[in-house]
Amino acid sequence: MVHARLLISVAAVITLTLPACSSLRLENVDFGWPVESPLTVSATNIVEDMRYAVAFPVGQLAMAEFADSAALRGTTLRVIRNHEGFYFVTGPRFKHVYIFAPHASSLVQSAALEVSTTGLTAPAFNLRPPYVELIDGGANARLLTSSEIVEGKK
Amino acid sequence: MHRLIFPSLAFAIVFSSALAALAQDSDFATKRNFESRAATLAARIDAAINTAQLDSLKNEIDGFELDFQQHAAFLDKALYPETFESRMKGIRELHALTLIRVRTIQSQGTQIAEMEGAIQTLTYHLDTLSAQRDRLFAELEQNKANATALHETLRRLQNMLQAEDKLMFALVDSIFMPYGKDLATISDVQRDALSTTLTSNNLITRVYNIAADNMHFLEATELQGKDFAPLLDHYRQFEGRWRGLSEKIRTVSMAAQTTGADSALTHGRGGSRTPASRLPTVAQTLQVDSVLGEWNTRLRKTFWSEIEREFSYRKIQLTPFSDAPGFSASIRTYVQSLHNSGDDPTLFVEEVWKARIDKEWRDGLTREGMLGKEEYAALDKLVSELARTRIDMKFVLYVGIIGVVALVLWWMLARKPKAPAKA
Repeated sequence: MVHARLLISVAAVITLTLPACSSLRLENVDFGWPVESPLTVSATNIVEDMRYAVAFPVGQLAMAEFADSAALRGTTLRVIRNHEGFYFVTGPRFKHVYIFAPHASSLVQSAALEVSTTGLTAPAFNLRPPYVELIDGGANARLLTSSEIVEGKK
Repeated sequence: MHRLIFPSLAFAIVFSSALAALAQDSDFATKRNFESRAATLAARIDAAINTAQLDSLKNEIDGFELDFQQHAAFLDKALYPETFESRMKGIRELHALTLIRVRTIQSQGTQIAEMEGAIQTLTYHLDTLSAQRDRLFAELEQNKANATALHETLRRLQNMLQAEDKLMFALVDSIFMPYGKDLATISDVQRDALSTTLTSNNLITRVYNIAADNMHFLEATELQGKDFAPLLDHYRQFEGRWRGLSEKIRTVSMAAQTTGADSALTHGRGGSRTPASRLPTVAQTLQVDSVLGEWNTRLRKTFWSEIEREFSYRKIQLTPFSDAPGFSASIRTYVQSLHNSGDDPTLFVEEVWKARIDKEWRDGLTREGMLGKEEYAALDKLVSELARTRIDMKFVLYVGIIGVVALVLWWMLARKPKAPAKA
């Protein structure tokens, strides 16, 4: 009898406190940018987008792609954010499209998709929900997700 | 001929479509292309100078809108906070405003052509009057001995001078009228035309000469009290008109300088189009201001010294004065001294104030900027009261004398003669 009462009390406390502990979650958020941002790398190795108010250093990206942290200074990177909120980054001479997930004060690489063996010449992104389209000089259009190339593989 | 044109046209359309298709592969390129074409179109609309150009540009706007209509949804997002529709509306509004501006300029051009004739006629009349003026000044010198002839010459000269500056300002109105009221916004081409007209008609030199002639007139003549009122009015009108003209010149000059500075900023050419340099300079307008100031000083100095002479000629010693407050204070002091001393004011009141000041100088004294009507009325009342005090004393004396005479007569006539005593 005592056990039964205890069990009921515990169950009641759990029922009342659990919803308060669970976090609020909003579904079907669209993070997509309608148009890509061509961003020029500054002398301090930073790109900054005024419209979407985002800025990040690209030294490590240059190191990963060209094995030279200063290789991107003065060049123009193409950046777009897809509907899920991933950042897609590439640029001329890049062989990859880098995909980053935003975290607290950081962008964490979630994928690096190989899109060219010789390097892109004039890449550009278009938002084509649910994909991001990569074009390079009007040819070789490819549809990308945050983890793979779904169409137009080389 | 047609065989060649149609294939070429078809090729051009296909080629341009292919180019457009290539260029529009990138959304960013589409946005950039749209913005670039919109900016170019707006610049061309703004630079249009006739309605034919604007008609052609209207077709281009329609074509431009059609080219990007398919991207409207994308552009609404990409151009945020603007939209495709709002951008197109802006271009069409610019076109409509430019059309109004160009039509206004074209109609002003017609007015300008009409006014050119009027300006030439007025300039001719002015030149003729200048010759007459020279003759009249010479005549003035010859007629100094003959009072009647001198007066007639003076009258003609004065009329001529007034006609001359009426013509002068009619010329000014004719020059500025076609450009409307808002001189700050006239175009570079119009400003250039205006400065050419101002320069070719020697406008500032003419204004300067007229002011100098009027000053010369004051020096060369001996004026009577009644002559001053029209002279004071004449100066006031001339000064007001000149102020209007110099303001217009300043507005046009400042607008030209602003345009020059803008041109220097945008083109880095240091404002090679500087119509301001052809406009009358600040120094020239200052010269006119200076001669006008001298004219005013001389006119007032002559006026007050001539009034002072009216008193001194009749041995009335007033405190010296050279302006309206001085004159007023001087009269008040003199009236007070007469009142205190009990001296006979007849000479001052009757012979000078009533016969001369009130009769000859009142018009001039009551003008604004001189004594003014109120102050003159106050002085006149003060002087009149002085006379009334004297009249009252006499009146009492006369009544007394008459009363005594009447009493004596009554006593003499009313007394019945006594009957002679009977013997």
